[in-house]
Amino acid sequence: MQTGDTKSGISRFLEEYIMVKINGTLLDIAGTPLADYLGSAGFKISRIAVERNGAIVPRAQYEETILADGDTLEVVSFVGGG
Amino acid sequence: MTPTREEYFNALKERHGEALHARFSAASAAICGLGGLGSNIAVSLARAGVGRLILIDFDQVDISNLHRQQYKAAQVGLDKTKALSDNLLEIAPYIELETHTVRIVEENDVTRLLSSADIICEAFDQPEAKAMLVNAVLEHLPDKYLIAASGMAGLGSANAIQTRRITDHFYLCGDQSSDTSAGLKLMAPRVMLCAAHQAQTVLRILAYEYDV
Repeated sequence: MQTGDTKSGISRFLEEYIMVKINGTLLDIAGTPLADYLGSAGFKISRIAVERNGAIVPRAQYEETILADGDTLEVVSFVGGG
Repeated sequence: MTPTREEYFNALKERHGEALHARFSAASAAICGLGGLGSNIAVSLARAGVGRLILIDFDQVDISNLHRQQYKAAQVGLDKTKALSDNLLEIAPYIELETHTVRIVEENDVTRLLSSADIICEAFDQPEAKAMLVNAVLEHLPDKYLIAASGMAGLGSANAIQTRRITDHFYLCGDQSSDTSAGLKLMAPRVMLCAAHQAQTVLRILAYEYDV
């Protein structure tokens, strides 16, 4: 679930601490394995790197990494050219 | 006539100041991929007086490279490691170069080839190779600074090319979207812009300027 703009400090607090933030979007997906999220969101595993709360998630740990409330993730998706 | 070593380094010290020159000249940077990004990063870092470059590419100079990469028509067919070394030594005759004409395909290659570098530049062109290198470096060489690139194809605005700091040690340059597999062609200036972002980030890190 994606939320709209927050109006109050309370709702901002709830969204920042009670949801998972991925590439800037708040999602109600705590408890989901990272691998499941990546698959459902259409990411190609061979072309990405995943940062979670300031550290890289090793590729071998995508299955066992369970998204938690308050997590902030960035999925870096590489495109061709160099 | 080529300047003497003393003349050459005195000129760099005059340009950059003693302290900055000392940091640049003591540094070792690895460049993974010597195409449009890597060859331009290398030229910038060599000019700035970075002391040692590790140059890695399995490929040879192709006629199709000349529109954006720092090679000359007469170098078509040469290993890129050899051709770029020759060109860099014309620019910066006292730089130390280490070359590896190999393809980086797995994590073992990353740790074997890159352990002696202070800063690593990802300069491949295939997205899978970029992701493999980035994941391997961040996982196995977490103390290194890594500067990767994604998205610099086409004739989009120069201003869309940016540097972002993803983690403490991981920077990403590019517009993150312009994809050659979407049919966009690579243009010399936009690729050079992205390479310049990467090279500038190297120098900033060496100057202890970590924010973007």
